[in-house]
Amino acid sequence: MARLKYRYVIDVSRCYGCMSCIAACASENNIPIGVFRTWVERFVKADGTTFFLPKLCNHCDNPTCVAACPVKATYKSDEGLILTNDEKCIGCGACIQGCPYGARFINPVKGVADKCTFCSHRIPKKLPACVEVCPTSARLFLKTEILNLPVHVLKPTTGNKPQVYYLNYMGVE
Amino acid sequence: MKGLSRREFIKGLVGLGCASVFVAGYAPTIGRIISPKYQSVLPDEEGRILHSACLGCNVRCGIRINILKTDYGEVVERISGNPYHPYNRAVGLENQTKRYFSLPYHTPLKEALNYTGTICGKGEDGIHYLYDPYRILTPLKRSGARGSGKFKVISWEQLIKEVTEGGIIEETGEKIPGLREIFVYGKLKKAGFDPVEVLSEMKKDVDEIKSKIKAKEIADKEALRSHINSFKEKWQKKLSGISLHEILINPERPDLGTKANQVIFYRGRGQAHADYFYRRWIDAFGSVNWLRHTSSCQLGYYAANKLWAGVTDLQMDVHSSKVIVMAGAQMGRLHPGATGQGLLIERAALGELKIYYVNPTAPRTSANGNIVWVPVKPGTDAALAMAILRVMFEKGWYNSHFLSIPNKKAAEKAKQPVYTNATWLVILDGEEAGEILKGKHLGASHDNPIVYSSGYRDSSTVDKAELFHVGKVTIKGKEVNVKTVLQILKDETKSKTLGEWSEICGVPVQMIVKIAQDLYRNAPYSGTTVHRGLGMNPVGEYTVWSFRAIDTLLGNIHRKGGLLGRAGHLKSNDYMYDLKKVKNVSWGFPIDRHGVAYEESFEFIFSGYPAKRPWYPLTPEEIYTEAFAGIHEGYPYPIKALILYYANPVLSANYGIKFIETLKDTKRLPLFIGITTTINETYLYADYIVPDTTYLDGGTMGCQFLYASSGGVKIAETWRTPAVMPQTVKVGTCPNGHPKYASMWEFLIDVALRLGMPGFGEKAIMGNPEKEEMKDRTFSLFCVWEYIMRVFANSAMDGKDAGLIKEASPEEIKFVEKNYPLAQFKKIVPNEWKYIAYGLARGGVFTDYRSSFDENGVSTRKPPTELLQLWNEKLAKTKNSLTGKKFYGGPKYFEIRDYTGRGLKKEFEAYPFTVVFPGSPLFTKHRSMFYYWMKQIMPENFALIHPEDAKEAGIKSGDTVTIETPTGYLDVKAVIEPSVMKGVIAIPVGMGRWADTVIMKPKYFTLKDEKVNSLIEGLPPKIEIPEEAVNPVKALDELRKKILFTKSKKSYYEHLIPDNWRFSGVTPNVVSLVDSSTGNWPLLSWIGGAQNYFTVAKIVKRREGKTEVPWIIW
Amino acid sequence: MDNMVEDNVVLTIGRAKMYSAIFTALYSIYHGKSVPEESVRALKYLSPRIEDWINEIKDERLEELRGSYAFEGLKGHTYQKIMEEFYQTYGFEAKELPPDHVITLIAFMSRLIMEELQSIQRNERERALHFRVIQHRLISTHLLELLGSFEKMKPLLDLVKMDRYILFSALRDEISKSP
Repeated sequence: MARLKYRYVIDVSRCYGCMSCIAACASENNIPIGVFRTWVERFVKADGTTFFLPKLCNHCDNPTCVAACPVKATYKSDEGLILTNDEKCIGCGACIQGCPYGARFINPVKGVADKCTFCSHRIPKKLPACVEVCPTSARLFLKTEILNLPVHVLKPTTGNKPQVYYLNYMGVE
Repeated sequence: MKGLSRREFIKGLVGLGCASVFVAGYAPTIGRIISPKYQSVLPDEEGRILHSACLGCNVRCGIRINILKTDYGEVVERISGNPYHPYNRAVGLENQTKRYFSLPYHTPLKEALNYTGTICGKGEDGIHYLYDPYRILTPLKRSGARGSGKFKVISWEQLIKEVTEGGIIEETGEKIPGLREIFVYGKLKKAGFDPVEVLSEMKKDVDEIKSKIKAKEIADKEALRSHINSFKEKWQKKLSGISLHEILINPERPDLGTKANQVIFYRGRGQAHADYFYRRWIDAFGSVNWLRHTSSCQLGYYAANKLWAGVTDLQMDVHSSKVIVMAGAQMGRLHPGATGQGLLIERAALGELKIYYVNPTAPRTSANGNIVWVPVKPGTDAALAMAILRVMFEKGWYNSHFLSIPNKKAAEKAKQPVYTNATWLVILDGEEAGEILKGKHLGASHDNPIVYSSGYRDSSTVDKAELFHVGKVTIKGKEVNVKTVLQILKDETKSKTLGEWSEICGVPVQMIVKIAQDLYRNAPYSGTTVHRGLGMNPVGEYTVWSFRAIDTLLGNIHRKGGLLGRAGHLKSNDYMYDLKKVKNVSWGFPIDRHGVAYEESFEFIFSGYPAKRPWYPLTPEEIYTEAFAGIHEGYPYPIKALILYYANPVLSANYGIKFIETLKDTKRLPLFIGITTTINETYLYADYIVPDTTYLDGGTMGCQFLYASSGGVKIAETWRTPAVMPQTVKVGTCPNGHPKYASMWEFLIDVALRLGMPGFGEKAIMGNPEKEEMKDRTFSLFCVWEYIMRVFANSAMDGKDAGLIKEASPEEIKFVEKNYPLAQFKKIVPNEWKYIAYGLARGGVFTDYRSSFDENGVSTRKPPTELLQLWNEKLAKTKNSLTGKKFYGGPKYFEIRDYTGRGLKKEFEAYPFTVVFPGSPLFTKHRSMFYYWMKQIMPENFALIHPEDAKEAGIKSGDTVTIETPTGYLDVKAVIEPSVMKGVIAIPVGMGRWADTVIMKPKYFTLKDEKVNSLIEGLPPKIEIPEEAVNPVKALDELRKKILFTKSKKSYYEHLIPDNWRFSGVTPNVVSLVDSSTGNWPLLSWIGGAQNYFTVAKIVKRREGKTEVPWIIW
Repeated sequence: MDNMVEDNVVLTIGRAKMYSAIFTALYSIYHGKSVPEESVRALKYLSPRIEDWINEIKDERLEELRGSYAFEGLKGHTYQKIMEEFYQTYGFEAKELPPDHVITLIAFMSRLIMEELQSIQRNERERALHFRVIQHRLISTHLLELLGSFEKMKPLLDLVKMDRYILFSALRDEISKSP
């Protein structure tokens, strides 16, 4: 299976919850209301310290969702992106169950399983929509496989080898 | 065949079920035979691309719009940022972090299209604004009593005719007056007079009487009456054939002005060039009543800055500041907006900037500890400022060199762009108490301010003077005490101990000292960014001023990293074509009595104090509450017509529901015209509705200036042009062949043409006589395009001559002509088109930050002011129009009090909570409920309550609580979290709508005043309006509608029904505070007349419940 | 989960397996292939009569088992459209086989029961009930009549009749319990 040729980096200290990324993704990819390819979670500590944690599909290098699909509709591309062939998908939901990050959902308009594609129709000439609109540079899309940064990944013990990296991670899931 | 017995069947099934493995093996095959109905939805391709200005909020970021051509028409498909604009800044694959700067302005467009710019969620979601099912597309007239909710479609012609000549509501028999009744210019012209000549002379005569009053030559009723009688005699004779009653509102009161003043043009969300356009219209009509929503916006902040610096708007430089005290300013909202503020946040996260977030609610991120939350008790911020100032004075942490400069010349010598009046002396007692000590007081030949520098000196003769001085001088034989301005301030800070100030505001002494230290250590790259939280309450002006005193001590004004005003902009109104000047004359007092002193009116001589209602001489902009109170009480004069544009005072003003009584009353307000995109809580009471266009389809076109600090650049203006042609109904073609669509523009033009107003029609616009090629030339104005193209021409040519705009390359011209709908009108401005195209392609005109400061770090902009005042003599001499008492003239801590100065602390005792109304980057006030990509994240608002307060009251998250304020009861969902301080309830503002072309009667509040409450009880159950009048969404394809409105019922966008999300939540405005000293009208700030963005409450009830979504985001 | 619900789940799994097994058997026969062992075993467990019946028809051609052939007049003409609209109403579409073919209807039954099962697993009681209702509609409005039109489908008809009876009792009990 090809490894992801990009690195998606999120700096949690910069996100201030403007939610522009969600609107940009919905607008760019025609996502219906109520489902999210990317989303932002909000946390408040006991002393009132607030922070936001953006999430999206991790385009894992060892994807459990691909393994779960009974019709091989979802696959890892040559560039390492996890994509779905909509025409093959039978909407059984196995991949949704199979993703430990909750990144997948049934698209109520398309009728099939859906998730973030890193805007595969735009990259690498253009940035993914969520990255280009971020006012604080909290989301970065780097065309490299090497990251020399103190990063964390979500749920590192799943064995999925998630490829979205977090800086200044505040220690929540 | 023998059938299975039931028992056998079940046994069989259960048997089948006992096996653990399920039908996974069968699923693929079955899935192939029966699969979910698949609808292919792909990301869209590129269509037309253009740069324009956003109006998701009022920050005016740039946007790049992608418009697709479909079988169903043109669809605004995707919006992203404009990389040329300093707020969006440039983003590309190769430059992703430190998104600090925009592309160099002269970057060829082709290259610029490889970059994009950041943008916030509201800007991104513009598509839901354009395709709003509640949008009105045709003119409407009410077909029932005011506020009955009944409207019918009428033709454009009928609208124009009835609004000018008068009409009848057929269904009720009511007669509605037309504007011609009060169009004095027209009456004079018809009677054979030269209106401008007559009115100019009349005005001169009135001004003469006024100056005589000022000079105390007329000091009593008899004298004034005799002058008025002479005036009447003269003019009755001169205007034989017309009664003076046809010309003046009240011939006994010529100071009130002509009857033309009886029409008000009130704008809510105004914007260039709409603002200039209807300003021009109202000037042409001859009325002084051009009013803006500023009292519900930031008037307290404006008035304070005006007192301090003579200009309304200054904020910290976002690029180079090192320490910012961000007080009462919303993270994610205040200019430069959710988009531009990204720069501040990023810099803080990288350790380049420290922000002290002085606010009852927590900052949205701590940015690696560099954004520090400083919780402060709402309304006590001035105490915090005083405490910080006290520390600064005690420790000598201020720029004494800067403060000691007493005049402009000395400032220039010291290479300072501004100077202060810190060293000037103030008279403390006697008749002239509060005045600046001047030469004339001491019998000198000059009249300059006196300072102390080895004796009392003429401030213009020394380069520096003593900062602190207490002394005595003799004026007219009497001894009086004097102090320097800075001494007064210092004494004020010392009036309480540090501990006492800390106790009042709730900020620990340690933090206060740390803030003062950080500010001083980083001066002049440190200072304050302040806004509504400080300014929008009764003592708001003094509060903001106290913070700005800190900046004064730091000496950071007009410098890199310091406090900056607004960027300059080009002469879009008169560079080539004079779009400003119209030949008419007006005088009198605006209905809201802003900017005028009671003592200027003849009434003052006749009646003395108290005035019938407050006058606000020192406020720079307009006041909703006093406008409606004025209409209601016919004070200072009765009103005939209100034209309300893009506004919603019933909802936006605190306790605005009170205005409904006035709006409903056809005697107090005979004609009410609404220009709007939807029928909201205010327009419900209109007689006529003019459908308007949004910023994406032709509304608010023009050159938008940027608010402070405008990214620090020297010149900036965002150019707004339509992405698509108007969605409203086409109403005609102008004589020069251009299409006219229903909108504010064409309405005003057609009314002007019918009335015969100067400045419309043939030869309406003059060329600028100072330009050789424009001298003696005139141009017609029959449609908006003939106006707006000339606006851009003005800016483009000014830009060209200033070396900012170049001739667009053939490639760029082709791009603009292909992509911009406005290009079809280029023939109106053939000589300027290639320069206009240059600006259009880039979405405006912007200079670069890095070249905006000189070698001393001073901004190359013209300084926003020369003088900073820590004591304002004008204020100190101004008397409160109700009490006759003089205002205190400098920064000071006051407790919240009503207009007459009566403290409200005791009244508030029964209400332990202060309710504040924060904003968030997801929405902008109340006009953004259609942003469904934002609503899905925050479908409702709530009351944020601190866990300890919640525990005491026994509330948990999701419960609905009822809070009682002095004016009413509000039901709101509670959310318990420590992001709000104890003793404070924070209700994010923007929701709680009940009318938006459909009605959803509000059930979440009741008001204590039965009369006012009945105004809501009396809401009709629905708005009756033909479905053809509304909804541009119907035309879109099914798929797109399903995507945009997935969670709504189909009838939301196919017919006309209330959709829950448009009406969810609450607005705390409805139970805001009133002022018993002004007749129970909404409580306002003293100086500015600003509305209050807070109220006080106690929790009285709770019931179980849960939030609509399992997360809390605002 | 209490006993009642546990029984419900077991019953649902059983029904799912039943329809899936029948589908697989018919599908194989339709394509002229042999019926998989697994299906045979499942059907044997269910009832010997059904097992026999599968053996009886294993060499038959099943192409004509369509509503548009079985019904006369206008009903026959439009039966394909009728079934298309039925599936579409609930968000599905038929592929590979004609929408009005018996095997397609059996596949749809399987599908609906699978959705019901997923809903039960997710504790979405309302949704599970919803799918059971659609199953009942499918049987009552279409499947029984269609099966009744073909002599060789009689044993299956009897089975489905019985299933409907079970389904109806479960539905009635469920609905009477609802608030």
